[in-house]
Amino acid sequence: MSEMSIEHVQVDPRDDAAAARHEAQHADNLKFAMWLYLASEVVIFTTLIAIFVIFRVNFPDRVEEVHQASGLGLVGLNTFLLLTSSWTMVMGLRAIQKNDSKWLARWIGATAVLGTLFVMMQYVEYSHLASEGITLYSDAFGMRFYAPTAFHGAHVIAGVIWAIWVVNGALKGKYKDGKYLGVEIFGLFWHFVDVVWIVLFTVIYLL
Amino acid sequence: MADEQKNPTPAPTPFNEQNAPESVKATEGESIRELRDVPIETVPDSKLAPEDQAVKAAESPAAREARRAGEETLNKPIEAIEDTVNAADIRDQAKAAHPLPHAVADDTVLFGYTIPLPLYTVIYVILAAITLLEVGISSLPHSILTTIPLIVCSAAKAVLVLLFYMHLREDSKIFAFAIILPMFIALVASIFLLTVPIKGY
Repeated sequence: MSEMSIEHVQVDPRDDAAAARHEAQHADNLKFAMWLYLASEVVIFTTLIAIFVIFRVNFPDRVEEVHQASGLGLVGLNTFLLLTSSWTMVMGLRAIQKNDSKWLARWIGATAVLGTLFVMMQYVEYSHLASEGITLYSDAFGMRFYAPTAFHGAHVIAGVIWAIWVVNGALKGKYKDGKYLGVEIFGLFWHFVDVVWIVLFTVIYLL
Repeated sequence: MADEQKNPTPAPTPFNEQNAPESVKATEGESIRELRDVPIETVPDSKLAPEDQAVKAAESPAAREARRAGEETLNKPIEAIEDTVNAADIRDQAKAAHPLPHAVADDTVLFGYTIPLPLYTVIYVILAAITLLEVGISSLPHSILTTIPLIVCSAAKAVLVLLFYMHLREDSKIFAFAIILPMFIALVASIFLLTVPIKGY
């Protein structure tokens, strides 16, 4: 037989495999960068929480007074709002893993709404505490309480803005066909904010 | 023997794209099946060179059948290797496209029981239940008997979110290390600070 030129109509699967491997490596790099950023946040939050814990150990009566004044109803509700927002976030990721942009937009939209409600409730809580005479400079407790909770609230606000950005991308079909890394990275941030609140809720309001 | 020691066989040059023969470079990106000669009888005469047309016409049906049978026998092990490689590539692609197949499932298997809810919803229900438990414990008079369960509940919730919602269970362990190390250092620093008396020694 002699050599002949035949038109190739079949795409070599190895090209797709190499592209998929490259994509997976790229995703791992971006995720690791996000985890390193979150590690830096851990240092800041842990410092703020440690300052509160030391105050709590040394002045338990003052913290008990504040607990009596603030009550647990409002902050308990807020905790459920944030927990629920973590669930809606991850359900959004699940939707886009099934290539469903419409439900991604709905779930992340719900996350943004719950985050906004959380910040509004935190404002109500701060107003209530201020009316009870607990302000930033009222005594040694004020700064130790407001600094970690307000810093966390700022993260929720940033997360809400990011969520709106993701919803906008989802409506434009940006995350279709397996390209949902942006949703995963946002999810890491949002769940981290939830983890921080889980710790803050126990340390500041329950112990 | 002595000559072999004086003049050992040189190590083969490692293969790379630069030192590859031109004939190999020309085949880059093609599958084994594509590289094999096309059976002459499957090509229309209009696309064959005149000498190939002559070969095709001269071959008797019996000779052609015998030739094809021989070729098929020789091709089988090559095709088996190619199929194995392709299957591995397809598995890689599937893993990249759906890294967390259990996460998109509509039900969850927990301790041998199948729950008709997605994994993420089951985790949410557990998180909510632990939070209610925490609120209940905190309403009891504060003592070490309430402090320890509250810390355990809080840690359990954080670990659940990290493992399942932030996917540390499946992702690289280096991600977990990146976040656990600063947590550990901060914890040790806090314990140090707690040993400092507030009113001096």
